[in-house]
Amino acid sequence: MKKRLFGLFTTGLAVVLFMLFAVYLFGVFREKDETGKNIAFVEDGESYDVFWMGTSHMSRIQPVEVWKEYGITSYNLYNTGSGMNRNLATLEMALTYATPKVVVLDTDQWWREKEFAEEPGDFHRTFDIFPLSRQKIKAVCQITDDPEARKELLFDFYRYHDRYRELKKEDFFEQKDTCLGAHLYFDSVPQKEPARIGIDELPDDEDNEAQEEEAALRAVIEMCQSRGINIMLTCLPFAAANESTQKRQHVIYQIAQEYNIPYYNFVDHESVIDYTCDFEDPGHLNLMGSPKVTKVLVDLIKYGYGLEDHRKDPEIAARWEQRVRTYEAYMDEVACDPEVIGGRQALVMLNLPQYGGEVYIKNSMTGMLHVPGTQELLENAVGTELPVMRKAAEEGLDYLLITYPGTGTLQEYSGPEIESMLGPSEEMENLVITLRNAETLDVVAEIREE
Amino acid sequence: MLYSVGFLTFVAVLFIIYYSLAKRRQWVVLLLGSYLFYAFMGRACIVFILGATVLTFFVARKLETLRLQKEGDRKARKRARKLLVAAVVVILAGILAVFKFQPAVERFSLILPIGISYYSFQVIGYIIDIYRGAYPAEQNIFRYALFVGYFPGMIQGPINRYDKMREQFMQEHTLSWEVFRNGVWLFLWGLFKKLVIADRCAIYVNHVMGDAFGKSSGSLLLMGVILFVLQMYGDFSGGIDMAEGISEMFGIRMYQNFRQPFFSQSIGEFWRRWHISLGNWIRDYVFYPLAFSKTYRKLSKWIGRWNAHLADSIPSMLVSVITFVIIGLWHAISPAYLIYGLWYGVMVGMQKLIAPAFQYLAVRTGVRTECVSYRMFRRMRTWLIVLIGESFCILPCAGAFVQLVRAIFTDFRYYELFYDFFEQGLTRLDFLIVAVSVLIWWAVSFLKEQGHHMREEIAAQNLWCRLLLTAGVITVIAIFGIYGPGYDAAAFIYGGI
Repeated sequence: MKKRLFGLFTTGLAVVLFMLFAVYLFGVFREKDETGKNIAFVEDGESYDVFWMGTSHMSRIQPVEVWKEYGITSYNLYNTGSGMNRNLATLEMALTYATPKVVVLDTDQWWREKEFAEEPGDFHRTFDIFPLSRQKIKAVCQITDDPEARKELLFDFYRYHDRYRELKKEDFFEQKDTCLGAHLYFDSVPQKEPARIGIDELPDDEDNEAQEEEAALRAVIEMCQSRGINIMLTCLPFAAANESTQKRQHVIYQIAQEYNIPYYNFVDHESVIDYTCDFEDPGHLNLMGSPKVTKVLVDLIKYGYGLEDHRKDPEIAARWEQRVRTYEAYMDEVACDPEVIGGRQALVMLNLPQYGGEVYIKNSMTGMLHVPGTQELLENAVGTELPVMRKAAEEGLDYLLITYPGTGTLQEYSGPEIESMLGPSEEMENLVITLRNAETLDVVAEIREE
Repeated sequence: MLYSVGFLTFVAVLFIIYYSLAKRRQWVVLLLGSYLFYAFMGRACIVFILGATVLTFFVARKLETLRLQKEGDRKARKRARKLLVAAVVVILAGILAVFKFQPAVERFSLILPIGISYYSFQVIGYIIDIYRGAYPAEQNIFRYALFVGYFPGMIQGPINRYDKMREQFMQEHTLSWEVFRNGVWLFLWGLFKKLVIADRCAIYVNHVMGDAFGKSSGSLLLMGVILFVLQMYGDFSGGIDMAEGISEMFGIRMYQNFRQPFFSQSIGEFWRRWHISLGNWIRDYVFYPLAFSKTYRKLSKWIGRWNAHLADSIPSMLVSVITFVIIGLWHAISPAYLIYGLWYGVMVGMQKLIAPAFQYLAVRTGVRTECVSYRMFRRMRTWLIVLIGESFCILPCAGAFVQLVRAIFTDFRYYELFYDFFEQGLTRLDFLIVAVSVLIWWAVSFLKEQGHHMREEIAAQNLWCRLLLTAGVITVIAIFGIYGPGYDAAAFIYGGI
């Protein structure tokens, strides 16, 4: 009898250990690119004032920058290519971890939801990090009817098990997302500002396809309201906003009116951004454009909902300062990566408050200042007009900009004055950007292009 | 599929009901479970199996009645019994033939009802046994229906015998941890062979013997044939192990279907170790009746006038050819499987025919026939015959076989095995996994060949060792198994037969 009991106990213990091992293995094999985004949200057990939600357009809102600037805690729970159904699923799962004061939901592509088969990776980014639970099962079943897709989303090891061929060191050591769910975009590509059509009426081709998505949006709003969470709807700026896309916002406008919730449509309002330099592509803001949009959103919710500045709370501040250090260290690392950061990207980074530096452009030989968007990029990088730069562009002279935000230094030089400082221009590359730490002036990265 | 979540959930539920609710009616639980399984597989499946069950049940009872009858014309009764058996065989074999005949399948968009190849032979065997008076006919149609439709054996066999199964179905089975555990181990072993070895080999085979067939060198094609044999053995024996493992959990042992066939030293021995249930069925219901027939005896006597050895070998060879052609056509009615059957029939027949020549050569040349090296030579000779035979299964037509032989002998390009081999879908790591897995498989087979009962020996180890081994096998299958969205789910090869 004792032997039998001992055997049962040992077997039970072995089963438990094996299951723990299996959970560990699932984590090792999981594709980190697809799931790392929300690891911190699930594992840190933090509370947040704001959830940023929507499609990848919302991915540019940087929670760490929001903390640095306003002392508001937030997490970015965007989903690439998602319609309202996936946002509803995300919110349902997220609310089991934290209850925010405000949800800001971007609605720019609200009527479109991809099928799982089109982009399984997008769905995995949404669901993988959340452990199996009743909520997750319900959410997955809401999202897709396909039994194979459900199996894959609920038991992602089914998809990732053959990653033994490509496991790396990073797979064995947890990498938390330094951007708290957001995405960093450094590039700057000039865009054309879309003509403002207005949202007074629905497009002629409006049909019933979007009923399910509309119902999901209503479910999101009602879920928030039933839990005392404030919700604001928004349509972030994007250059590809055509007539149909803009007019579909009419539905959002009506729903916002119906539920008496705030709605801010950036496309329909006077623009706060510069379309020549604030976008990485027609849909997505870069690190130059996103702070401008963030300011508008935060101003609306901070004063609208009385959000506190937690920078004075030592406990919260200590945790978030650690996140800021990790985020800034990651930025420095990216700045040194020549595969990510070239000339234009470096100018975008110069816009960030933690960086200063020097920019040299051999405009006399290259005419670089006449490349569309360059002048706007420079002025946006330092946040002010640059008259010397404009003159150098007109007269075809070389240009040097020195900016040290920490000491308030902003100096411009052009033409022969530069030679006396840097030496003959023949010996210089066509473009040299030195990124420095704004406080210590230590060199973070140097970008040279011929 | 035997390892799908749905099927395993079904088995788990059935298992709980079987052992907890209905001790004296356990066979009813199995019967209901089996037909629920068929209902899930489709209405056509139910129609055919029910039809075969009802027909053969009543015919068997009639046969027994006629056999036991004392009054009336004995010859007339015997004639009637023969006619009944012939009618049943023609009907069932005819239906099977329609589903095996590719042009008919394409013309009428036919879908093979699951298990039809296996239960058709099972019931034909039963009818013949009743005709022979081997045992009494079953009087309860529901018990008979369980024998016909017992679900673990329906996907790819084995072909069971009524007298071996009836006793087990009627016994009361008490839940035993050892029986359950042994069933689980056998199931896991089968799953390992199927998912880690067979389906991995299929990646290479499907590519080289499919799209890349015309472009591949002889060396790559030869590897394709070798890996195909490995794939087929792993797939078939793996599936059988899974089915047997599930059946054992219910306390029912099915007909053994494999006994380390690649340790065979002759092609005849190979077919006594490979797909044993089919081989034994053919032996008992085709080979022996032909071999003991008057025609066979007359032919043997006539040849015996000139040579006693030929009198024994030539009629035997003819019967072998006939039986193996039936085996080939049982797989599919196509030129490829006809050649497959002819090949093995001739090889098995030739074995007996030329055995004296080999013995004479061995004596004259002083070759030792009882040593390990000679045994290896005989095994390799057997493997070569099997490789050629099985290549007919994978090639689309006779012309392709000629192309394959030509490529091997005139365009071998052995060097491609060193660099191009890993560009055919299997990476170096995959090939290493196959190699290590096959080594493990060979080691287990070797131990079984030496008389070891593996599951008993594992059961005799310490608990921690058994737990580690079980956890290890599950982990290996979970990580290295070929399944998931990146792969085409490889159905069982013999599930489509």
